[in-house]
Amino acid sequence: MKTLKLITSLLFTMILIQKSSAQTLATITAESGSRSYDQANCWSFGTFSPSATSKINGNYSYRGNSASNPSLYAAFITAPWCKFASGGTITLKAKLDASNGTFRRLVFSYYSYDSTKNYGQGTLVRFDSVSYTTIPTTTQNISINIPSAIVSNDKVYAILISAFGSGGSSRWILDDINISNTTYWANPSKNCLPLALIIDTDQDGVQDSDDAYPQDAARAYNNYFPSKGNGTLMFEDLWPSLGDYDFNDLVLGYKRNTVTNASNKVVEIKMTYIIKAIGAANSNGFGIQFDNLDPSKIVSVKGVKTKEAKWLSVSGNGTENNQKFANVIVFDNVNALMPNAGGSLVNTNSGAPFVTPDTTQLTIAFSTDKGKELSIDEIRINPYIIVNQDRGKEIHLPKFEPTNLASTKLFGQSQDNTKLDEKTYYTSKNGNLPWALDVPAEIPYMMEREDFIAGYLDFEKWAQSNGQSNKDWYDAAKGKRENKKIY
Amino acid sequence: MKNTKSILGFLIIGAVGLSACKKESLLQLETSNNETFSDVSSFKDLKVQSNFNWKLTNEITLDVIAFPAPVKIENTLTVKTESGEVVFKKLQQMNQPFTGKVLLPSKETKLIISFGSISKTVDIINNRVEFDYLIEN
Repeated sequence: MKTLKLITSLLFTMILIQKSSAQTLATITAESGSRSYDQANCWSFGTFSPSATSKINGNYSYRGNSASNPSLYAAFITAPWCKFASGGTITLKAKLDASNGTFRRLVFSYYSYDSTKNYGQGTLVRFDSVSYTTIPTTTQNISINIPSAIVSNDKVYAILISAFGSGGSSRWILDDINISNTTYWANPSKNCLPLALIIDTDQDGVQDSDDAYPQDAARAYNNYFPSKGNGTLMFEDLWPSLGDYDFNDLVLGYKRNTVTNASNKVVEIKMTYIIKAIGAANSNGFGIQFDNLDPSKIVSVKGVKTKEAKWLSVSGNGTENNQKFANVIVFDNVNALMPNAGGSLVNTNSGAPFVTPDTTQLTIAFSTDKGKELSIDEIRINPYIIVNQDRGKEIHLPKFEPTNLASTKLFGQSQDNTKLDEKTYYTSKNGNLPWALDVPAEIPYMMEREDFIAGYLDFEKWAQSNGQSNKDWYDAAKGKRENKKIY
Repeated sequence: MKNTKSILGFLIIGAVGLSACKKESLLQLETSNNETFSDVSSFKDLKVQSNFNWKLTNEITLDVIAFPAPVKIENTLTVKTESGEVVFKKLQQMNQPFTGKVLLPSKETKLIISFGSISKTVDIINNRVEFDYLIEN
């Protein structure tokens, strides 16, 4: 009984790929000028390739090598796996490019499918042939009946057309090859093997072996950024004045997983933020804006670490109130999450006690209702800090826009060069310098008051080349570092 | 003798001066070619262009060219970095085109794109990559 249930369950989870839309095999004409087009449709070729000089009609025909070797595999064309109905025929046009040779022959065979053999090609059965002892250089219209042994039996077969001969050097030219009354049954995405049942437990269209959530039809794929390890966000918090550029006032490790469904729509984003260092006296908060995303497209936010900041107002779906675009405040006071263990800073002085990094894990669910669905490339995350509990004082990555709760009074003050009308955000008046950096890899940060370029020695080459050289300055294996200055 | 010493001294100073000038002009030349860069001792002294965005990532446009297979073939399209890390996955129909964005570290120059058993390494050119199902052999 248990076995029966299991079999029944398995049958329900198996979906035949596109049986309903199966089509007949198309005629091949070589007219694309490249055999790769027909190969993508699972035809295969032994020495035959399109020729514009030796042709039967159109611009191209398939031409083989010299047909002087009497072997079935000297020159051949194999059709994709098909199922055959009765009354089918193989038709083609054929000729030789010269009249020399003892004989020339076309042999027609079929392969049975055998999963244990290379390409699934099992027993080869020869069923017809056409021979010429007077070598034809004019077009021959050939028609061969499909043998009754392979029709209407629900099995798949592949037709092999072998073109060979003996003596001389003349070459076969073939065109307009058509096999009628067939149903195409090959899968180009699976080594051209026959279409087969796939296991798809949740029936979302993604086979279990590819599905990260095989029992959940709402989810299919994980898309990680960075794809390996964590990224690193580093902030200077004295904006709009310049800081000391050790970029350790707040250091966060991060990773996000954008979970999509079988329709390539975003279901949720799982985010991890790890507070690694606080090289500042300010009590900073941290948030993210989903640029250009209406807050109503977010269904829920779980996992934030907000305490009781007076400036924070959150709506029912977990996004911050009074924002044009969706904002999530990840934590409102970094010092409350990771208090120092002596001294005023956390994990930036090697002599001070180490504080275990604090990890925040968020799950942000998105609407999958029609009209509200999001593609993965509609997600643009804009991280920022909120300085010392002043909600209007935001610091973003360079060129990332402020939220609409940022105080515009601070723009242009001191060294800041933010100009909203010119879409210039968070760079300095002198030198176009940033207050934050985002590195798509986990890197160690600077010790307190150590200048960033004194630790990452190739950074200045990258920056001063406009980002064109030393793109891997942060890579431990490729970029030079001064480890004494790095925490 | 004193005059000779003065002339010699003048020549030496002149030669050193010329050498310094030459070195400076060489440095400027190299800088203008973006081959070498002025050596700075602090972040605040960095000289970057006004349009430099400080980004270490690029948004790559991925174009998948449709192929008119005789039947609807559906499989997972996987995009990997050259070192094999998966950056994007989606369910793809062979006979449908697709255009989308993929966020990548800007140091990446190639991607490996696969659709079931069909796999290709493609160059990233002007922040675009193109994938089709045709395999030349």
